[in-house]
Amino acid sequence: MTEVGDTHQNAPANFSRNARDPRAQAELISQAFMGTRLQCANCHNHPLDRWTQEDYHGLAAVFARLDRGPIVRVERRGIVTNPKTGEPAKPRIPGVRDLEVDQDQRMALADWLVSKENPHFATSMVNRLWRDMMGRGLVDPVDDLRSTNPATHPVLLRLLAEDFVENGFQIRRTLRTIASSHAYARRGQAEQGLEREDRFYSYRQARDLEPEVLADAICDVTGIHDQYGTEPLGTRAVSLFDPLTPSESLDVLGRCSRRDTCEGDSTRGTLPAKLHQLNGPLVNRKVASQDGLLHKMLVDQKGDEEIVGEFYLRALCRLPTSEEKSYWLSQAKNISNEERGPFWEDFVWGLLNCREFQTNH
Amino acid sequence: MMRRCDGMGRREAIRIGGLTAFGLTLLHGPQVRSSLAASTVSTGPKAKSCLLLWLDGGPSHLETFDVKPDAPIEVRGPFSTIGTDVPGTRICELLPKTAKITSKIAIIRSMTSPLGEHGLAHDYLLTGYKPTPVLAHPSFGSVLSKKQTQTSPLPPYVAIPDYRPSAGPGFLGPEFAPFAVGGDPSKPDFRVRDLDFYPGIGKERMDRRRAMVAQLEAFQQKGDHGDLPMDDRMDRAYRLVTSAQAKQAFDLSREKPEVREAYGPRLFGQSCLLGRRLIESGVPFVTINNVGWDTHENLVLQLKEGYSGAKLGVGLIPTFDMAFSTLVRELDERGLLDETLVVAMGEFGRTPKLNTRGGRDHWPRVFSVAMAGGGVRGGIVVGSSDAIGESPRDRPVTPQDLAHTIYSLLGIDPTENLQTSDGRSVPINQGGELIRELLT
Repeated sequence: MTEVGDTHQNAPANFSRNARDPRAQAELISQAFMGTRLQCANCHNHPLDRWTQEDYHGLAAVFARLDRGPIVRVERRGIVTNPKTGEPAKPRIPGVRDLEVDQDQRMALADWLVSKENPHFATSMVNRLWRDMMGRGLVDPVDDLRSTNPATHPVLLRLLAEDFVENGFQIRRTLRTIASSHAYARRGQAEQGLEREDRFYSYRQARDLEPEVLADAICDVTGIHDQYGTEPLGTRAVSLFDPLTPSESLDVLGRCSRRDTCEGDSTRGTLPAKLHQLNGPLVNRKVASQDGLLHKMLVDQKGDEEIVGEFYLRALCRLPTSEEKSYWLSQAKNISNEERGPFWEDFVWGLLNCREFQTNH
Repeated sequence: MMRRCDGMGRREAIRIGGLTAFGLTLLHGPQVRSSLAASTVSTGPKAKSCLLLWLDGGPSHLETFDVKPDAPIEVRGPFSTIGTDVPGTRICELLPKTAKITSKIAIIRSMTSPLGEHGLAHDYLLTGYKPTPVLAHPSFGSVLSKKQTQTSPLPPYVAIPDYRPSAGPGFLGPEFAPFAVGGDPSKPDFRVRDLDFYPGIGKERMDRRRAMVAQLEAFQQKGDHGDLPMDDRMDRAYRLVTSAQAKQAFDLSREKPEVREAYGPRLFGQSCLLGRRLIESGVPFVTINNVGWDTHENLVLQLKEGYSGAKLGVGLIPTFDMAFSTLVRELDERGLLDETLVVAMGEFGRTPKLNTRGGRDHWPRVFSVAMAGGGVRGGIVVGSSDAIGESPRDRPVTPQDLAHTIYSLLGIDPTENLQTSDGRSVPINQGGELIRELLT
């Protein structure tokens, strides 16, 4: 947020280029780092929250002097007009205080954002991490923290946020805390009468794998990698630094661009994504590849039982039950030798397209 | 450009300010609104489906459906006018085929909006709501997808070849986004991405795969893996790719060559033909995105010729003329016009006076929309503009009114509420009134 300079040399300065003007930057920053939608306060004080027009235009004024060209720099002048007064807005930390005119206001804002004084940053971060792990934020939507949209579990949210601040904003620590909780470990079966309960964690709710995670998992099961642009073969989708790295599959599945906070506007789970899973190369090319694990096992004359076990383990992280195993073995028994390849390809394809594989559950 | 909550851009504010300074009154004042027939009673559903021909960029009303043959040259423009099969109704000479089916269409000549910037005007015309930064409203097709159960394996809302964000699902979410076919249907190698089976996989193997998935999931339900609800999205995809009939809807090679020719050989014409095939196969809403109508310069080249020195005009209007007239005529011949609403519109009109580059700039204050079928009365003109096509003369119609009418014709109650993801109730249409004269 504070970086400036030639964006070809200093990549983080690109952050300032994502917004087209100071107001857009104020909205992005409040949404991303405070989990708060300030937009309403552009034209009038926020009807459902504390934010005033002074807060909105004041936050925008912090970025008023920024030149968002290829070389990001701070100009000598630049103002944001508060439409209520018609006067230049005073640079301001929303809801807290006006900033001194002679200080580096962006630095002051950044310092405040990650200070203990600011409750929003830590709260919105742990809330997003909770959403990523559990499928739903303690406050939902995650970019709409406000007094009139309370958390389902306010004490839990506060404790997580405090822990996050006290331990130096360690994402891993918070993830570990959530992952080792009873809530995360709930079984997936809803108790009778609670099937429609969707926010109190009485049971584990399945959620779709993220596009990158899904793509990586498919590679892991089949033993065939995808080529991502000029990255070395074997690069994992989750570790791609640039969301513009060419990949038709990730585009169709709905990966998030770096431009926005990706709240609910992606193409995830839409018809094109599902068609791609059925008919695209994402799964089909890999299950049919002679270099893939399946065909290697077939060439090595591995038995049906070994194939079923191996792919259950790889795709579902468990071995088949005896019922499952005997079903697939009985199906395979009737298959002629030359039909074995297609049969097992279809089996692996089936594993990669079933809900148990495609969801975190 | 800065966006304000009222959706008015800086330039727009300046423009309107300028006009008022010249003594013209704003048309959105309460005195004008109250003079309209006050009614929110909805009509019975007439249209089973809708084809929206989206003329992106803002088509000139003066060079299409609102000609001014008696105005000075800088207003009437470079083209002359022709009579139609409706006595007294004249349109642009570049629409000779449309002139023969004008008795089937209704022309609204008094559309009016304050929004003269493309993005803002897209939102207004495609959703019936002026844009606001706090909430993205859904477009017609997305609302229809939400309100109506789709029984055909085809998706309920298809965009050819693609769509503007304003034609998207807004707050309804990606599930209700249009299905974009992606490619150019006039190309011989046109394919919808991932619609055909992967090479080497036939229907038999797809059926076996689907059965295997069903078996795997049946076992999984018995195990302690939780309730994994049946994924109806995956089910829709299966039904689509395994339905030969549905896939044939996308296959233009099944049409007779003379039919394909009648629509025009390129993107727009073939898109309209594809749209007709999809409607026939059970898609209730199709948007055809026809870009290029932002004609700031050289109307003769862009609207008529298409390329410099063309003997036979292949510009925007002749292309539109072929496709639109053939579409309406074909729907009529097939007995489908009564249940299929066709709407041809863009986001605004063009300035009454030609600019110095022989073009026209943005003009939302008055413009025209053409509609046919689906319960719309043919051969009528609703409203009119003044002598130079600058302002509505009578019966101003707002994009809200148009949206209200389109929803009503499609059997959707415009006063019903939709829910945003955070639980807010938002009516499908706000502030619009039914354009009664349009109805049969």
